[in-house]
Amino acid sequence: MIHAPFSLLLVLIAPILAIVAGGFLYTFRPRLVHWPMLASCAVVFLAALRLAYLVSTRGAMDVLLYRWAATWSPGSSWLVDFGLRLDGLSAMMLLLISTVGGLIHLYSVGYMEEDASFGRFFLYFHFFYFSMLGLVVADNYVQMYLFWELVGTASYLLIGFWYHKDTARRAALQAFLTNRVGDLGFLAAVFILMAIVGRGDSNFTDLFQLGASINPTHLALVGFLLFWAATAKSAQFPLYFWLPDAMEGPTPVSALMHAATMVTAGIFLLARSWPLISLVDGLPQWVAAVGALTAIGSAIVAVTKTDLKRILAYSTVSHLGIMAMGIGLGKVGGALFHLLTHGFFKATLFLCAGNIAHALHKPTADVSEAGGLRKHMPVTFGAFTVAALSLAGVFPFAGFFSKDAIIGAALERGGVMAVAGLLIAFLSALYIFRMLFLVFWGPRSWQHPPERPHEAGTVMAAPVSLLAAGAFAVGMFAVWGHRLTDLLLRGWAGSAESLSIPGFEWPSFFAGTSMLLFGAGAAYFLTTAMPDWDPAWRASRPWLARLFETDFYYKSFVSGVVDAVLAASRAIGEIFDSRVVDGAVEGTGPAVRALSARFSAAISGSLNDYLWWLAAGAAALLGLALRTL
Amino acid sequence: MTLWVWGVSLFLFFVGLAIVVLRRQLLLMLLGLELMIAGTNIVLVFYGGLRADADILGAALLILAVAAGEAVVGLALILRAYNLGLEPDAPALRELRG
Amino acid sequence: MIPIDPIQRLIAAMGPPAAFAVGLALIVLAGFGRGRSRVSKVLGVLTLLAGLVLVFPRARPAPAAGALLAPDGFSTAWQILFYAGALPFAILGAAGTEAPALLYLGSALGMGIIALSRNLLMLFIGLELMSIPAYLLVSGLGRRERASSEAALKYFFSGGAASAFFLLGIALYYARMKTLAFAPGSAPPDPILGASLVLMGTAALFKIGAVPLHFWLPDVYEASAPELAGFFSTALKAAAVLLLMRVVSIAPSSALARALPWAGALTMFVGAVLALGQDRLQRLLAYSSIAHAGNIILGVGAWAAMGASPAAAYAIYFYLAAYLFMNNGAFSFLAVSGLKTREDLKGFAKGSPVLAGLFAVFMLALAGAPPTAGFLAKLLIFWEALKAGLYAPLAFALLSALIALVYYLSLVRDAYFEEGSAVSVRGSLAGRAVLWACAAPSAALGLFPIVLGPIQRLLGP
Repeated sequence: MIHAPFSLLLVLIAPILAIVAGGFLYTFRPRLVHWPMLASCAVVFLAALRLAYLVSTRGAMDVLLYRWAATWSPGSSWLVDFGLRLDGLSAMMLLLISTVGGLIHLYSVGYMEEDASFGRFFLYFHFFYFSMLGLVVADNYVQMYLFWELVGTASYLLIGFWYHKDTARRAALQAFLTNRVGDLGFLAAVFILMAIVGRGDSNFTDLFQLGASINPTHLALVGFLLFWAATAKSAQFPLYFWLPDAMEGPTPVSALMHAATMVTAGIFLLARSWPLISLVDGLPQWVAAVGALTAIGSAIVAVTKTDLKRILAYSTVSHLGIMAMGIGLGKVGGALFHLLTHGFFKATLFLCAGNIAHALHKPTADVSEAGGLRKHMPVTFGAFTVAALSLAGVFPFAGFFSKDAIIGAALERGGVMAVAGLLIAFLSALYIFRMLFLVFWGPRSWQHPPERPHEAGTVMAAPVSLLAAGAFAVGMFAVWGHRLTDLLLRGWAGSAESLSIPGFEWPSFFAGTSMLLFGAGAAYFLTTAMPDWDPAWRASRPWLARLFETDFYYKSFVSGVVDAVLAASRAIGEIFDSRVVDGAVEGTGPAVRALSARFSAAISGSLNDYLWWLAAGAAALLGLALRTL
Repeated sequence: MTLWVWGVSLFLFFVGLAIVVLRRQLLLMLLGLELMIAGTNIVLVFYGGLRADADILGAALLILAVAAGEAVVGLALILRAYNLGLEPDAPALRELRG
Repeated sequence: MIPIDPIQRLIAAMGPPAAFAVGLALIVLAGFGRGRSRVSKVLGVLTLLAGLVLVFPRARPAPAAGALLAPDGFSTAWQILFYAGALPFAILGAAGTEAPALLYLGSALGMGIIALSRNLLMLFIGLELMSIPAYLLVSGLGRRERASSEAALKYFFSGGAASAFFLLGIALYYARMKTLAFAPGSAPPDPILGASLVLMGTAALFKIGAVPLHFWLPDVYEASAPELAGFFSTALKAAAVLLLMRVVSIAPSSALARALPWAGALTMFVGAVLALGQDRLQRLLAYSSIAHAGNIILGVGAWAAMGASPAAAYAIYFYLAAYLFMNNGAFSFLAVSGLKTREDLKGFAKGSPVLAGLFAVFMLALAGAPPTAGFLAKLLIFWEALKAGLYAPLAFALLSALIALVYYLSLVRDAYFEEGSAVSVRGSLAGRAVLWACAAPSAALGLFPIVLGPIQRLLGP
């Protein structure tokens, strides 16, 4: 029998059952598909709570569910395991996914109400939910890779959900392909690990125990490859560009996948692999550098964007960069903490953007179309403000504590990192306050829809409010009594120091808050004090628009590279074609068919021919045998 | 002596083989088959006598019996084909091909 | 008085052949009554099941040293293949009289004797006992009477010639070894022995359907009832493989053994290429059967090259077992659905989605798609070939597998994505039961390589 807490199995079984049930319902009552999903979300949430309790009291555990083993002689076998790992890290992720995921499921019921593909949405959405759950409880790299791929597939399906839109299809394909590039790194790392360990069944516990004895070159290779995979999935520079375009998907998708969970899978991978990564010289520093670069660059671009969801997308990229920076600085605890708080406040922000778009009856909204909404959409306004303050890192909102942990570490490191940290604090405040002011204050610039923009029903407002509450409270809750750190320490294979999260430190508080005030002030100045700045200023400088449009020409660079690669492969293909025009490559198909016909003709139907061949065959073999005579 | 026996035996075997491969009438081919078997039997019987091995003589008898049974089956098949309208002629059996 | 003790000992020692003897006698008796076809069908199935049960070793008296027949790990394991492989035919075969039951039981008995033989004479007797009922089955149970007669004649003459070669091999062996008993590795390879083994091996290869001894196979498979072709392609082929392995084991380093990988490569390539151009489904499956036989021959070659390594034996056995399910399933599908050509197959999925789904399972399993049984089977054999250092034949194997993929997938595509007359076929209860019983292992066996454990224990170290 399998010795595992029932809740752990439930975490995977409930979504599977829900998807099967939903599949049945889909065929004859598509509008009811969401019920099994909501039930499953509730079940998983309760299971996650229980599992967190179990981990806190009993410690980590590895559960082996099934071993695919082909053994035919002692010492000669192939093994691939399917197992589950419950430790502090996976418990925290489970809580995040189930809470945020469950609330967004609820939100989607309202948001997707008028959509014709209501049922299909929930099927895909819950498939993603399941894949993400499987990813965080995987107990070995192979299994994690499997779920990693599933998550990528779900992302493809959901970004391209409105597949009749050309932009959506292209964005889905772009996301998928870019992630694929990263996945190659993951796959290569998995193979190298299997080669090192000699079998395919090493779960994390066993693997990390080997850690120091692995050849440093191999380890470095694995580390960099894993970081490459994380770069693609968590949208670090240079593979970040798919994420803003992924906003083509419905808002719940953007909120759950491209803010709270899927994109954080890369950070999760880095955290899981920390015992290996920390052993590689220079890799943590590299991670921190890339993270910082990403954070700053995308924050700058976020300031220039006008589409609500795009601003938030770039903000997500920036915060992923912050998380990577945290890991690179050795503060895995801080990074994970930020992952947690970011999940809450970013999801809230996205859902608010969704509310606004919904109120304006458009798929997505632009800052130029919103404006002065605070009177008309008070709940959204409240939630947005809470989340924005959290994002900017205002004490005592959740974001303050998590950002503080990382920026504090950056300041401690000093030098470039310190400057980067301060810049990030400044820029984050700048773009989020800009968004706040433009959307909720200022003159009414929205076109007149049939009725005034108003709050959506409870189904949409409640989750937003709850998430906003989380964006406020989660930080204090986690830091108080070192709760989060204690949880994460369960089953942690790295050093305890890497998980430490400072509670409150005056220097970083001052530095962060002052940068924040600068940023808020700058935003106020740019938007409210000089209201024409943004739109008019842009309109008068079209080259600026181009600059902002293409992320300071980075996107043009990427499309250029892609086009070049495609052109090269086409050219090579043509050379081959023309070279072997007499049939070696192109003619393989017809050649084989001709061969087939020739062989077929040999079976003439005449018995004597058959017997001839029999005698000839025997004679040939006999000749071989008698050659030694 | 052994060589002679082997020679005769192999001669019969190959003649039988030639008949089977080269002739058209099915009955003749059946004959050829029997000839092949008979050829090998000669060797076995010879060795039975040479080495006074009763086992091999018994084997030769058994093989003879099996060959007879096979011949019966072969005749039955040829007869059935003939009754169905097929010519007992090997090259004519060409409905199945390719 | 009836001597109970020797009979008990005989049954304990021999197992299935004893059951078969009883079963055959009963069926002959049943032939005198009314309802003989149904009774004989039931009796036939029961006898096979009894054989399956009796196959497993109980406390056995050790065989006497010069014994003609003696069980060992291989014989137990292979007999399971024979009797299980005959079951679909026993269940699905149309029986007008009691003759088919007699014939396939006789054939199965012959296979059992081949498995149990320690003596070349017994091997020959088993070979003949296996083959002659097969000739009759082809002639009597074909769908188009003239074609089946023709096929039976071709089978008879080619098979007869092959048996004659086997006999010559026996004669040469006796001349060299002064005995007809054989045991693994008992002979130093020298030219006469090598020639002897080649002749016997040729007969075995003929029965397997190796190229260039394959000409009879498509005609026979095409003209037989589909379920009969299923019986031939699984049970009979397994028997022929065992025959080959027994012969090769006499001298694993002989010329025959060294030629096997190349024979295998040739066979799988030609088989795959031939199948590509076929439209008649039963003939296509016959060629696919040849291609798979090539894989097995390669496996036997690897087995011999590594000095009868047990791991390779497990791989060969697993392949034959997986093949049993896949091929019986494919042929049973043809029997149940009544399809003849690719044209008939087009659009089949629309009318009969369940049957088409099962068909797809068999095709994918035969193609070797993960995680089907076919995938694991191919993987194991290729791994053994790699271990044995047979790189060039292995390359051929991969190439042929690729070619095979083309036609298997094209069949699935025809069933699902082409327009055609979407007939709705349900099939009899027995037919559907057989199909599902074959489909489940075909699909899932690749996921449970744990079955290799029992296989190991069966076959012994």
